[in-house]
Amino acid sequence: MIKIPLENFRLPDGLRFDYFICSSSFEERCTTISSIIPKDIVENVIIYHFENNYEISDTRLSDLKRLFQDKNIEVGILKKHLPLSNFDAFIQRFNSLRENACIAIDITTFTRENLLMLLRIASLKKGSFRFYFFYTPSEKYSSNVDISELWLSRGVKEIRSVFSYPGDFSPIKSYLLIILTGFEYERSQILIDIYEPTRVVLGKATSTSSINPELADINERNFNQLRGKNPYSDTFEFSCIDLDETMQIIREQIAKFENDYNIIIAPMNNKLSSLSVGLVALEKPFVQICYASTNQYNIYGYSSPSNFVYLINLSQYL
Amino acid sequence: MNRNPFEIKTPEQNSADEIVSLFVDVFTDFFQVKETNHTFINGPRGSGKSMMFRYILPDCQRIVNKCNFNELNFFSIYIPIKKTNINVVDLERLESHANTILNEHLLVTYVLSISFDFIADTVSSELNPYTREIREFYENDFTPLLKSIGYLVDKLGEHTDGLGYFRHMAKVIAVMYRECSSYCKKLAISNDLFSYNGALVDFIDFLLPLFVKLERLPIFPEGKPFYLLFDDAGYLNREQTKILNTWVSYRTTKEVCIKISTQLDYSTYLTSTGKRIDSPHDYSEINIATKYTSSGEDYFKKIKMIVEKRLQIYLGAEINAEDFFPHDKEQEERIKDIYESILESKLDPEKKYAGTDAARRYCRSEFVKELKTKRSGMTYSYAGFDQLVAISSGVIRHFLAPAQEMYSLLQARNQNSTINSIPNGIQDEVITKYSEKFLTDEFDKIFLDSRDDELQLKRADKLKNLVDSLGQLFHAIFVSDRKERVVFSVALTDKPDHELQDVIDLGIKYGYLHKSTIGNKTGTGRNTLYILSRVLSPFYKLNPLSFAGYQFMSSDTLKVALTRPNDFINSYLRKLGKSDNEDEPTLFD
Amino acid sequence: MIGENQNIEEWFLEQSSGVFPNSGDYVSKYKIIRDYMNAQIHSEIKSIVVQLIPEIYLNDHGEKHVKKVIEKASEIININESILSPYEVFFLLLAIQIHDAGHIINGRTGHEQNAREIIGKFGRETISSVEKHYVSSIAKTHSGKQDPIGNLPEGQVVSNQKVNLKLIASILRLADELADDATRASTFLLENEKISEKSTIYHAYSSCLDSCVALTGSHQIKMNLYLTESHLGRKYIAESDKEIFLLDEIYKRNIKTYLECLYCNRFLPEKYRYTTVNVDIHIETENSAITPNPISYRLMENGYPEMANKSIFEICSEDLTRSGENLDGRYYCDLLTKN
Repeated sequence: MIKIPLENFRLPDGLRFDYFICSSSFEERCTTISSIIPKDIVENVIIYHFENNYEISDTRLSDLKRLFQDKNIEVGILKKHLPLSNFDAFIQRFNSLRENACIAIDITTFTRENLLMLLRIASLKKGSFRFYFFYTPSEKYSSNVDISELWLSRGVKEIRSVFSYPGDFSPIKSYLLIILTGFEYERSQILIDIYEPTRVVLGKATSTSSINPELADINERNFNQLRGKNPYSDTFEFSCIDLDETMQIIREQIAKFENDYNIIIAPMNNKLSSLSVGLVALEKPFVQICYASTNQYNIYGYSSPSNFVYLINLSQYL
Repeated sequence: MNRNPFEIKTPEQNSADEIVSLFVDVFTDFFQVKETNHTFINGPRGSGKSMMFRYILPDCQRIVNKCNFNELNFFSIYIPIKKTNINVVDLERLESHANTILNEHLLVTYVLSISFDFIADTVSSELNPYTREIREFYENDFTPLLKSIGYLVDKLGEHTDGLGYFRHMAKVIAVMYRECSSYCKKLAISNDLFSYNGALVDFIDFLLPLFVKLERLPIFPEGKPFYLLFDDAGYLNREQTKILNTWVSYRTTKEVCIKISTQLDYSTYLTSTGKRIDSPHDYSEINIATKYTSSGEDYFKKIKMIVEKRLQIYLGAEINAEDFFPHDKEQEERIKDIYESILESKLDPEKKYAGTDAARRYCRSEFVKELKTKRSGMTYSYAGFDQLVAISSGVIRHFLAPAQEMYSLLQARNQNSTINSIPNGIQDEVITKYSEKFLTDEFDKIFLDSRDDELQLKRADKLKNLVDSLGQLFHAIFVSDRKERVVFSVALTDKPDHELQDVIDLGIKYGYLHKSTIGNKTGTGRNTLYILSRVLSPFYKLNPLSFAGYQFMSSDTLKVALTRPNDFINSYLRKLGKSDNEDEPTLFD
Repeated sequence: MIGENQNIEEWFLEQSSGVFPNSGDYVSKYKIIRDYMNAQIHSEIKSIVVQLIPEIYLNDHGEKHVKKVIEKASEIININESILSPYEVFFLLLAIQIHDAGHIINGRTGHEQNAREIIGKFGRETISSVEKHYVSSIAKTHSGKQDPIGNLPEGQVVSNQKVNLKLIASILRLADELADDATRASTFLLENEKISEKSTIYHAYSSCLDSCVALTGSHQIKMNLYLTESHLGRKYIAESDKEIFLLDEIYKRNIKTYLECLYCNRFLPEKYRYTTVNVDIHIETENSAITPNPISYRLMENGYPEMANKSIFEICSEDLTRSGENLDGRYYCDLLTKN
């Protein structure tokens, strides 16, 4: 995984992408990489867009199209709450791509669910394509309210397993829920209330991997609140910026419990940590990943892009 | 420090002794649960369904009845349906391939492996004296039935005891489950529809015959049915739900009774054969919240018993529930004064109850109006056991959860003191926050940028508008001079359209509304009544104590509230003489 | 009409792989199973059952009967009108092949339940688990009164192809009902009284039934029977050792045929519903005193539904009676008064 400053954006020599794939969003971050990436190294562009979305997402879609106006652009329509349909849309598209193509995916503003499904497809197609993931971290969250009232989303609409990560459960084993918590501790609590697992393991992002000390404090406070409501839970720490470190931590947590429990993991932090979960789940198909869709997003101040991006060569992991 | 007497644990986490000591008999209200028929038990989360199930499990029942397992009237087996265990998104792929057969196989093997495992856990070493009979069952019934579908199992060694056999059978069936489950998941991400070649089982030819043979083991009550307790069956996918309904449609209650609990989220009552199961032909049905919202007295008594039992068990104290959760004395005295004064002024020798009726109706309303007029800064207090019970709206958790928090808060503030009651201030603080949280957990205060465009407003936002509108309307009525001031529900005079019904159903699902019926004004039929959850009383400043009033309105009128809540409220305020906008046309007759 | 519809087995054997799921060679699969059944099972049924239940001598449930059922199924529907897909015909033909084969396991009692064991013998390269399950489910429904067809699941899809189990099962059931004609009787043995007493009436019936044809498009089943004087004058031993005239047995069986039509009609498309059973019983005699001859009658739904002649308490006795009392107005009024 390499860190590339936006000011001096340089990709490894000779890297060219036959296909650049991204997702429109209400977040400003959805255009960061598309703005900076040299257009001469990109041949074809696929922009995924949710139908019946916020107006601002439509605006961002237009922005993305404008950024790649000289390229061959295709817009793929995604449907809310129909993950199977979206998976089929993804795979159909991938089946039509040129063999041995080099594909870049800006994962920043794909939903966690879609990101994980794309990861699954990448693992199925690893013999046919080379995959690179781009990610733009956020330097600020919920910028439109005071930090003490930080909110990213409200409510849980639906809880479901992520398609293609169903796990391999035995009816006679108890349930263990591992949550990589984020700012939204209430959503984490809802997961615990709904699943009623026999055992809960709560993961907290390390303060060193937090963007700034204020956010680290909020994270700590929320986590303690969650822990207070679930005093018998186990805990661990993970990094939201180091893929390998988090993968190893997750592997260790799974190894502790896999003989006695059916394991469900809920990644509720950033995309990098969610990616870590996905990569480990590819290694350990007996683990299920779950996803909690939300009722409402803080679309006016969800995030602000950092001044650097990450590039991940997925073939190192698949 | 004493344990919190109102601590909420899932029933599974409690031992049989704890459950039996804590349990307050609700079966006088819900006798169908123990009867030999298929039953649906519906109620929101926290209304006591899982507790009922836990209580009728064999380990509790034998303590209650002071008997052995084989002397019980039924042998129940707990089948929990957890979110995303048997229902994963990947199974949607089966819609193009053998959906019913494969889902039924998954459901049957799921139920059977859990059943064997449950029996092993519950009966445990008491199985061992019957090892010979269990071995015969294994060799003469279990094994041949599996063989008939092409599945071979090993003969077990002579040293295997009864408990070992049950553990083994649980594992065998669990393997069958996982084989099929694994096939389904591979199929989901495959380009091809390749065949399944493992054994397939169903209810009629496999599960039922096994249970029939199982019942003959001496450990189980002779001639009595097994009860399969499906907890949270709303988590099944649609096809699995239809399959379960098909099982309900079979008249198997002599051998196997199916008890199904749902959180009002059951997807369909259709069977996989295209028929529909109906109450009472195919099953009996209980709706806990409806029962308790329409019969306050029964519920009040139950909660009182629960509270006093818990205080006794955890604090070793014989305290009256009303004493533990006292009223605001000053408030109650003032309300009593107002009651007396209204009584006096409304006395009518020709109408025996005119005075008491008016006093009862208006005393709290007048008190709240007085508070507003005086601008004293005081607010209406919701402290008091009867008010807290009323606020909980028939859902036990809505009483226990705030009670738990009140106790914790008090404990944190008064570290070493013995707690004999909860002060009014803490009761108010917690219940007001609880009410607010109940409302705002699912809703956002910020509307979308397209608030004026009906098409863009989501269902959740419409529901928020509806609940908000009703809450404000009922408050306005409560502090008005109307004859009937304690209104908590709307009675629709006609059938709502799809959009309104959709939002109302969502409200019922989330527990903001309860549904009932009322005779219409002309006595020619019944209207549907939608009752606002009393958990919202503190938030909207309503009186939770009365069950009396409802407001008739047409569905068109109510529908305005979905998208134009201000118009809805303003029109009604005008009617009450308090409108801000005199020029707006009224929406009410 | 007779002879106009193509034989469904012939039609099926003409189909190319492309119309089947995953372009599988379902024609070969069917042939493998059919040939096995002919060689190993059908010929054995009668002798095995006689060994198991010596006093019973079954009608022909072997290969000839299977051919007859296929023939009758071909009359009931016109396969060239796309009522069934080739894949569905695969299920129908296999269900026909195995539907009576359960006799070999248990004799006549409960034989319809044993289809699964028979089909289970075939490996996955021939037929998958799901297909086996469907075939045995369909085969099971050819007899029994607990609404077996109604209890089959709807809306089934296998490998992206729809499979209408109820339709297939109803065709099998009706075809089996109509396949009971003279070709089924062991005529030689009957004439020489070599069949056991209890079985004679079944064979006598079959031997008299000259034809039983589904007249596609006219919604009629046409039956022709021929009785001799000795048939007329003789009593036979029937179920529970009762004695009965053959003519009376014929009436009983006709009612059954009619009821089977009504039952199967629920699941058949409108064009292929059979609402009338048209019967001619010819008595082979010179004696002019034997009249009327032929005995001709039609069983059909006539005028207002029959249920009108029954009370609701008879129709819904399970739901509307308690301890022998009807739950009528008087019952509830008395309850109110008492309480």
